[in-house]
Amino acid sequence: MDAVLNALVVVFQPMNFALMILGVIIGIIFGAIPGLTATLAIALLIPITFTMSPIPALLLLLGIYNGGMFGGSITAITIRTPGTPAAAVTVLDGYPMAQRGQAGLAIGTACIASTFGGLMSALIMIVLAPLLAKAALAFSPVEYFSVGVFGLTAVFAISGKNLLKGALATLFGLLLSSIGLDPILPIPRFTFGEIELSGGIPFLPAVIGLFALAEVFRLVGAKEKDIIIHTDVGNVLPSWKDFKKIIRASVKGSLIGTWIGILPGAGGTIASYVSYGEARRSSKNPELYGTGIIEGIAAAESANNGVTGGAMIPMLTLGIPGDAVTAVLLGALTIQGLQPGPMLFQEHVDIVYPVFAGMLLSNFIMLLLGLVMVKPVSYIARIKKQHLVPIVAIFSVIGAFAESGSLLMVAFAIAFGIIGYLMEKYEFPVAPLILSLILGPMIENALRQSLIMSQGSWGIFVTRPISAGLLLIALATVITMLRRQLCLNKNCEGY
Amino acid sequence: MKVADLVGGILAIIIGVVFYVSAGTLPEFNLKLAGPAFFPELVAAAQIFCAACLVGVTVYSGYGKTPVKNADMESENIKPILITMAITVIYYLAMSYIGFWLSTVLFSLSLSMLTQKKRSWLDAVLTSAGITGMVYGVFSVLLKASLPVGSLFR
Repeated sequence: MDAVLNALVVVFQPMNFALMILGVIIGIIFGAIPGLTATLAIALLIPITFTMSPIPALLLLLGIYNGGMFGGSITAITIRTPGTPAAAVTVLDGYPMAQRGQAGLAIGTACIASTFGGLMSALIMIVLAPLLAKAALAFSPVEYFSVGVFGLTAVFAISGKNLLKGALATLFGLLLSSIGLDPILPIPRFTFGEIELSGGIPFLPAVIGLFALAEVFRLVGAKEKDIIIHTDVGNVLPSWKDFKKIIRASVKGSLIGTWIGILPGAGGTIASYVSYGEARRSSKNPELYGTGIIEGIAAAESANNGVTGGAMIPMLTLGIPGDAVTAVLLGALTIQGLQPGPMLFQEHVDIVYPVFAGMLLSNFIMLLLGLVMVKPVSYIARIKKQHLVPIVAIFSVIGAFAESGSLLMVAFAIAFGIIGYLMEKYEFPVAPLILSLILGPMIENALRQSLIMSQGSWGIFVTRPISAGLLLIALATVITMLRRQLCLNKNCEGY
Repeated sequence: MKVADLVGGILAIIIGVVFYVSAGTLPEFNLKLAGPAFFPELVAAAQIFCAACLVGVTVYSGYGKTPVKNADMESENIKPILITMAITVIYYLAMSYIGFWLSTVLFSLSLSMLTQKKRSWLDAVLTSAGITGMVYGVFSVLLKASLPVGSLFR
């Protein structure tokens, strides 16, 4: 109880509170601008958090996370262009409502549903995370290896359309993660004599390159469309009858989003599609979905923001990110000198509980700001390429430099930017690459320690029940996705 | 047959082979399975296998058919992308010699001119000056971070 009260006191300190508000504003704006995402915003702002202590830095980044997940719905509704991939489903009912002159109601619905989803998933996180952290204290390297393999398998099986490409992206990331000093013996691997590589591939330039610079290259080549904006937003607050409909639709969506958020690799996009599909399937009037109904928006947006708390659970308790955004957040935590995992809950309770409080509070801030910022954000989202591209490019380059003051980091960022662009272009998923880059050292360490414990016997991974269970689920996931892909290629029924 | 998949697969095989061979030169541990070479060799072997499968599937599915262009290529303008990549590399190289200010102004100017729908030097110059000032303000003034100085000015 003391920890909770202390957390609230910390979060309500003026500077921390102001940073949360700033984070939500930045998140909403970045989420709203097509091509920019919460992941990109966090990647660009991590260098800015170097000079901050952990709590203000995390509150700023969490504000961006929550705001960004909602922000994409504003342009999805007003200009039929989702600001983030996760808001693509919101277009289906949001834009028809805007065309009928109900843009305000649509955005109000999205905002309330997002807040509900975010709050529910934050509460589930607050209950489950400490329990999981406690259970994880009993984990040995064997369980950590299996958790890591499960995480990576889930990521590459779900990301992208092609299982082989997902596997290759994952394996490439694992290879890159082995560059640097060996984790057990202090000998350099694949450094080619370069001292700068002995620390391994630096995380921040890789993230900036893969998410920010790659997007710059894509934006430069994309055609600029003529946009029709439905700026006559009108009243954003729903009636009591509509409010009840929103809440009813949001309950299921929030639970779906939270559960999907817990699964590594499955982010807001999958959550919103699954939730929308489920809402339509279970509706008495499924034919109305897609014509402009608030239940459609509520189902998508509540799941979308429901992912946030769910994804934080494995990230905080096991150090396994639930999605790309939490992968970047994990890096931010590490840069702040905090190691996610069960020990975080033992040694840094003074940081964990403010994070919990921040997740709750930033949702309320998002509700207030989201309703107010609709019109200005719709206009900001029209920022021209000739202004947007240089801003993102230069912030990316200087951000990569600022971490260590080394121009080599800029070279890494540019290299990863080119790699990230080519991967997206030729449908090799990027998320498995960044996750395996982060998880690779942990997986390798756990594998080798386990084999030392078992004197070289692989049986140790199947004789321990948790490990065996996780590996079985990982195998089942791959087989299911492989069957699905083979069936899609042959146009089987049921897929 | 998707040419990009074929190229990607072959590239992945080459990378896998390079890592596998390099790992073979690492010293051994008492227990080989726990040595520094084991994990990279395992992953590299898996990568070579998956890449070979991708190449095989691509060739098999495209046997007798004409190469397919990626649909995205039709809607994307490649030339400005390649130019942007090139000037980003030049920006990085220039920063080490002429430092932050001049290189950033020129980089921003180039990007702005490249992405303008209608050419406007005034807009490009103002954008460039504004962005450079903003970045300086955020990183140097607000965060007290150092910016590249450039060897010519040291």
